[in-house]
Amino acid sequence: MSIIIFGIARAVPGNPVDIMLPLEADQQTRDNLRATLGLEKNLAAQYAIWAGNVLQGDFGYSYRYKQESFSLWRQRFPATLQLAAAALFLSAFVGITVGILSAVRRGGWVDSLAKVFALAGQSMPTFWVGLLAILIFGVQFKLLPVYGRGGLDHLLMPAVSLGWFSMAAVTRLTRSSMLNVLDSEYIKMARIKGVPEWVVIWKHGLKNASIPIITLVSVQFGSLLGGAVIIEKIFSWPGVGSLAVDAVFARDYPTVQTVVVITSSVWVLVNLVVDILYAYVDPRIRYG
Amino acid sequence: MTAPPRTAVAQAPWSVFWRHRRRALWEALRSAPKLPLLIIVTILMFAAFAELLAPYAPDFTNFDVRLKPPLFVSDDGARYIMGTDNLGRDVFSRVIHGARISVLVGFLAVGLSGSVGTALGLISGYFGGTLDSVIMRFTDMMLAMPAILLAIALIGVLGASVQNMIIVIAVATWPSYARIIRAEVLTLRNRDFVQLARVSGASGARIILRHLLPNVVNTLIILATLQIGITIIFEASLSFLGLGVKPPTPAWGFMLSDGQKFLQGGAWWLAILPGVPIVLTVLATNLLGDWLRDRLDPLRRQV
Repeated sequence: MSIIIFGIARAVPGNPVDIMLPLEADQQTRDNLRATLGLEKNLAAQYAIWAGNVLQGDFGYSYRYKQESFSLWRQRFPATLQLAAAALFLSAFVGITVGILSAVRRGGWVDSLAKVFALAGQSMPTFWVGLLAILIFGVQFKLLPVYGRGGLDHLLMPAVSLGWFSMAAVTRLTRSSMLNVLDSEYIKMARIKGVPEWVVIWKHGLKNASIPIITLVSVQFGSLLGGAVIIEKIFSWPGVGSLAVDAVFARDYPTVQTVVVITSSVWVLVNLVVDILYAYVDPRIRYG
Repeated sequence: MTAPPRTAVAQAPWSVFWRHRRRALWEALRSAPKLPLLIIVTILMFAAFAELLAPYAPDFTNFDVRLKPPLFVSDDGARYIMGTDNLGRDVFSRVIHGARISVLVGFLAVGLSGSVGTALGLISGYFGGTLDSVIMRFTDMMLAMPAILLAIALIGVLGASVQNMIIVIAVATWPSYARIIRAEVLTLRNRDFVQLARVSGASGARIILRHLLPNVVNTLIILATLQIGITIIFEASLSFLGLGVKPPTPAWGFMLSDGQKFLQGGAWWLAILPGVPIVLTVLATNLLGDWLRDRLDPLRRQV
């Protein structure tokens, strides 16, 4: 257990430094730009200026939209957050439910289906799932709108396609983690005591199986934020991902940097929250 | 006095490794899952002999046969296995040629990130101390950024090309190797055979290359196999966003994004079929990776 905290604790002090890394890219981009504009400046000085500005909340100016790139990010981020959160919720909910069912009824039809799903899900690229969904639910049956942001019906397809991969991963891990736990002595003890089966599974089983699952789900959140880039492109979802891609094509470097820096920082914050969650789920970690 | 143990210790690992391997290799291949191997060999053949296998040149346009549906749903007797696109190009031929980019990027990016990550993991794990902290802090930093965002930012700086795509994918994926290999080395570095080598005067480089590396090769093979699938999806994603190869060159990801605008018009095959080889390839490498894990790493066998 202490290994996990140690690993997380290592990642967290990395926080101030990892804001620096996109700056590496920034130095080069800036340099390119200076070169094209004929302005050469000491990289260290530029870096210091940029870092200083960022610390004061000034992320620079978008060349393309002629406004502060931070306010651009702020306008777009809620859409991405909504998408990623919905995908995360779906993948955690479906993944854990299916994972538990297949572990409890090992060898049953749910289990066989879950195994196929876990394998297939991890082999399908996000964008292909998105395209298939558009074809089936958008074009063939005309059930759901295929682009733009709006009500729940707009959210459903992008969220499912984005969460598909994570869903498979969570299913697989929940299954193996639950199988491990259900095999242990205290589960037998609980059953012998006459604890109702659903309490055994949910309280004794799931709570103890949840540490690796929480880790995985939190890691997935980062990849969902990243994967959102492609899903946003397919479904014309107005989030930071499509902002970043458009900015790359427009050579709008401050916007690209801003998106990468802030989105990464958000992820680091999420990791911190997860770190705290561990202690809540498993009291041993507090003393570990 | 010191001579015999030195040669004995120094020569054991790689030769044992190869003797063991050669014997096991044939037997291993026979028990390998057939379907994944078949898929992988097919894709490799596509990549190697695209000109011979493809019925048409990938950029051969024929405006008389624009947007013809694929063979299995066609009712007007068209002979295009995967249909044709808006310029009358044969989708199947383009898919065969597209294997080139995926295979090339898949292997080179995995090779590059695998070597960099393994080297750093070995050094970090063996030497420890400040060097270890520096390398690991850097690894943490890299891991703290969503890989695809990092790749997009880097492509924005470097420009879109196959070469840059390989570099960018390697930059975004090496940390996982470094992390895992380092963890492995930490369990090995205080074992007797490493201590013996050190006592008998072997240099750090020698210990790393001849004693530690052979012992992490199994982990490395499993990791690299599983990474090939991830890398191919990564490549397809970048191509999909238009950050990969330039348009006339066929790449699976770009064909899909290009085909999306025809979905509404009914030409669904353009946006779906080029994804099939991606799914199959990734499925095959995942299955192969799982099989290798079971075989080479019995301790971590999954339930």
